[in-house]
This record gives sequence, C-alpha cells and structure tokens, in this order.
Amino acid sequence: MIELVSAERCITCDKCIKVCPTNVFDRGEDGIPVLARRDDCQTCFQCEANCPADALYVAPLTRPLSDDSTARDEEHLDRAGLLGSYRRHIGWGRGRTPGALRAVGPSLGPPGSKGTSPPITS
Amino acid sequence: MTGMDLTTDVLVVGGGPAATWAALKAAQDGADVVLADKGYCGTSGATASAGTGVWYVPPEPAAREAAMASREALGGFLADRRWMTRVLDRTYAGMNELAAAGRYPFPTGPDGKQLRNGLQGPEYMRRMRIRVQRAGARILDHSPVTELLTDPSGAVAGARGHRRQAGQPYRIRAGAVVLATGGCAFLSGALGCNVNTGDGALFAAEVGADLSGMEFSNAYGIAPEGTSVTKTAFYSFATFYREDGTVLEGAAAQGGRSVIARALLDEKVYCRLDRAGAAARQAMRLAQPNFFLTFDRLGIDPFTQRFAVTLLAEGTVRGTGGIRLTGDDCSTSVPGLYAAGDAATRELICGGFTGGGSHNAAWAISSGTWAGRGAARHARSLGHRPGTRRLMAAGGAGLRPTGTPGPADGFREVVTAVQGEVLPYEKNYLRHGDRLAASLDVLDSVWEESRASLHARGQDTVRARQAAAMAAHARWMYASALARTETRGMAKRLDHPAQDPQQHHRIVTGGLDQVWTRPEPLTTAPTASTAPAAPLEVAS
Repeated sequence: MIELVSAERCITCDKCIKVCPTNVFDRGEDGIPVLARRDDCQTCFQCEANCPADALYVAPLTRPLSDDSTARDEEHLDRAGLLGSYRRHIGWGRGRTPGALRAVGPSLGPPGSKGTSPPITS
Repeated sequence: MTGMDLTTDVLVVGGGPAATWAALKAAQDGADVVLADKGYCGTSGATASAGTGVWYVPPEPAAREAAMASREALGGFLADRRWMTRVLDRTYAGMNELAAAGRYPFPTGPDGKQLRNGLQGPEYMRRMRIRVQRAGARILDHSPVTELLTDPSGAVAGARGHRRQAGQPYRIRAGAVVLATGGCAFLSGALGCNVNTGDGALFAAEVGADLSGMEFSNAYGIAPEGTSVTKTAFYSFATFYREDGTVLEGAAAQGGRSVIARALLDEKVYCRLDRAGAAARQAMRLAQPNFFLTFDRLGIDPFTQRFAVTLLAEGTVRGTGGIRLTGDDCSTSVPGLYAAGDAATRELICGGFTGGGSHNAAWAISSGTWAGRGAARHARSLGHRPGTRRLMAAGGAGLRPTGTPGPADGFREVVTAVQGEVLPYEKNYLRHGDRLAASLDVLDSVWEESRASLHARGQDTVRARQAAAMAAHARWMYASALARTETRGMAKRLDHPAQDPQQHHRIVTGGLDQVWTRPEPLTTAPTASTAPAAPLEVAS
C-alpha cells in the first residue's frame, strides 16, 4: 500500500494522479498529491514506476502500516536504496536501459532439465 | 443531458491488452474509436502490473502441433484446434508487429535472436497506449462505463459512464461496442486485478448475451502473506513447509496447489525458493523485477529464508470463463456487441484451464484484433445511423432499484457478502456440491436484495455496479460449477472426482434474476475424449 508521498521530492507533475488505476490520489491545495482514497490502493506499484522524481513509496503489505513505520521514513528509505528502486529495476528514466532488454528468465522445467521457457511468465 | 456527449464508430470498453489491440486495429481500419477505461490505459489490469508470458510459437508444424497438444488434456479437451491455429497465427504476427512497429525492447537470446515469448507489463502497456493514440483513437481514462445503451431493435448502440476525475457523467453513441473489461477477481487484491470486477459480463448479460465456461473460475495465485504479488511462475523453484519446519508433502506451485489451500485452512504455510541455483536466481531478477519488490522491501532473501505464503483468488482472470462468442470476429449473440480478452471465454483455445499469462496474453492480442476489426466493419455497415438511433438504457442492478432504494454505501455490504462466498478456499477452490449449493442460495438472495435496493450517486455509481457485477459473476460461476457434475480442467468437484465422458461439452450460462445453464455440444469432433483424465493441477 502507498505509504509515502515526499513533498520534498515531488515536482507536482500530477503523473501519479493520472496513472493510478484505482484513482487513489487527488491534487492537494499546494499541488502535492494527497491520498484521498487510500483504501483503494491495490499495491500494484504503478505510481512508483511512473514517478519521475522518485517521490513515492509503496510498501509491499496491502494493509496500512503505523505512522512510525520505516516505510514512511524518507531518510531511511533513501539510505536503504528503496526510493525509486522499482523504476531503476525496470530501467525507466533518462539515461537508463529498459529492463525488458535484459529480461531473460531461468528455465522453469524440473530441476536439471534443459528445457527452454518464456523469459517472463505470470 | 449534462456531461460529455460523443458519437463514434467503435467504443472499446477497458484499457488492458485486449482493449488496446481492439482500439488499435479498429482505428487502423479507418474507424473513429473511443477507448474508455475505468482506470488508466497503460497501467490498468493484470498484465500492466504483472507482466506476462506469451503463447508465441514460430510457424513450424512440429512446434505448433506440440504447442496445441501440450494443454489439451489439462483443459479437459474442450479447446478447439481451429481457434488454436488462428490464435497462434495471429499472436505470432501481433508480437512481431510489436517488435517492429511498437519497438518493444525484446531481449536477445543465446542464438542472437530476439526472445519474443514474454513481456514486461509496464513496458508493454505504455507502448500499447502510445500506439492507440498514434492510430488516432481517443482515450478516456478514469471513465468507467456504467451501462450499455441499445437501439429499439436490441442492438448495442453505445454506453453511458462516469468521468470520475472530472466528476461528470458521459454518453457515447457508437456503431459497435467491444467489451474488453477483463475477468473478475472479486477485489481479492491479486496483483493489478482490483479493476477487474466482471463489469463487462454484467453489461453483456443485461443486453441479452450469454456466457460460457464460468465453472472454470477458481484460480488462486500464490503470494507472500499479506502482499499483492501473485506471480507464481518462480514458485516452481519452491519447497513448501509447515510451521515446525517439516516439508509440506505434496505441496507445489504446479500440481500441488490444492495441498497448500487445504493446509492454509488450519495453519500457516511457508515457502523457500531453495531449488534455484545461482544462475537461475540471477535470471529471475532480470526477468521479473516486480517479483522481488516484496522480498527486497520486507528484507527477506527468498532463496535462503522461509516466508509465509497465501493464495489470492483470481477468479476468471486466470480462469477461462467469460462472454460467449458466436463468430470468428469475436461477435456475440447481440448485434453490435463484441468481446475480447479475459472478458470473453478462453475455452476456445485452452478449454477448462489456463493458469494465466501465455494463452491469455495470446488471446488478448488475437481476440482484441478480431473484435476491433469486426466492430469497425459492423459500424461501417450501419452508415450514418449510429448518430440518430433512439437509445435505451440497459442497466439494472445498482442503477435502477426495483424497490425502495437502500443506503448510499450499500455496495460495501454486497461486496463483503459476495467475497464471503467466493474467496474462501473451502468454498471456491475445494469445491463440493453441498457447499456450492449453499453458497448459491446466499448469492441468490444477495442478488435479489441488490436488484431491489442497491444504488449510489456520482462516483459511487461505479462501485454499486461493480458490486452487482461481482454478485452476478459469482452466481454464474456456481450455477455452472453445479451443472458440471464431474472433474474437468480446473473445475474440480470433491464429490465428483472423475472426468465423465458424457459431460464432454461446454456449459453456457446467463440470466440475471433467474440464472440458467445449458450444455453446449462441441462444434468440432472430439480429439481425445477417451484419453485419461488430466493431471489435477498445473500452475502458471
């Protein structure tokens, strides 16, 4: 579930408001997105993938965490390399190589088998 | 009316792979196209968030034969070779088009050739959005359709909906409508699936279309406990454990998922991906970065540490049931109405089993293409009439209560009641006739009350309609599951564990206030009805 919108990093581009498939955000008075319908967050990480400023953090747990959780501690997340990490892994952002270019997966056959398999499966 | 009023040749409802292929192909055929998505076209739906393998098989006779044969037994011999052939052809062309015109950055395999049998979700869907826009189609994001409109003859002639970020209703007159709204995962929280509430099936039923294969609707995906990431492929490297550290015998992602479900009824189940070697571990990270989001953020090393797992319902997203098609152009029994992707039945290519990805992805590309072109052709055949037809609203439950309207947030109670019958493993996964019948009774009364009193205003109209769609979906599922008194494909019955050669047919269902089912004989000659029953489970 979305845990952090960093007012410091946010460039008020409205992108998260636009791309969230479940319409969680509204534009706040100062332009910073607010979590208007947080219960609708489906933990799909799309807002993070699309945030050009690495200003959002989605925790993997689908229920909200407490206020003192490290998932809401921007400094901690930054230090741990978690802010913007999904975007980095899929290679989105200027100067990065699309992760899709390197997406060659393991063989999914029984251990020891040499069968070929799709690079990505569901 | 207040709000936006548009006229177009083709209206595509949905924003995932099937919707984008439909909009693209209709626009390339010269049609005026509007694509209306509940969320945002490019991030909406299971594929955009999860990524997918694709049933992409080069046109070599031996490879094609193996591809078609590989899933026939699993699907209970309900697939159709003619449809498999045309989907394999169409998917091969579509993926090659995605590489050339769509410039999708496919990885290069050891032989120096591009590997075109898999797609990362965000990359795939952002490119499809661009392709749709470049083809001239108009995209309405955050604009859920709430009901279809028909002309006096009963032909589908448009839709009404709500622009939730603009806070206004809209109406679109259309020559033809493609429903590509996805399957139904009952707001279970499975990855990217909370927009998939079966809306299209409800709209279709309200104008008189029927459904097929709804008994194939009990897919569950594995996820780390408390998370959303239902990506199950890599669990083929897993060993499953009990709380005390002993191995949970018989549990596996493939061929042993019901063992996990049964155990989860009484205890926690743990997992470790301890059968992956160093090379596999590295490849897994590159192939599916989103699989590792949960682990990295929870501080778990899934290869060396045990973690608790859960199973999340994926209903007809990974199931195969959906709107019944009546033509090669993905038309339905209602003039002007087409269906594509997970909203339509996928029995034609995989019978009673998919497991997600692969076939569903191929189906989205193929059925989207055909439905888009078919809808464009239909709209052309109408000439100028689409702009002048008298329109009639088809929506019922959640929009126009037949009795005293209930509370404005009545949808919450309906959602909870439906979830109570379709999410529990002992009801939907481990199916037994007695429990199915008891659940169907509950669901019938949920429907009856909803039909009488469910309603909402503004943005919440969509929520009321989602609740109604989920209730309808659940009833078609369980009515069909009760009608199949055998075990075939994923439709397993504890009280009928064997496959019955007498039931080598499809089950068609429909109806709203009265749900009905009827067997439908296969159109092609049975290929292997005397073969032994399929192995019970395979994962995606």
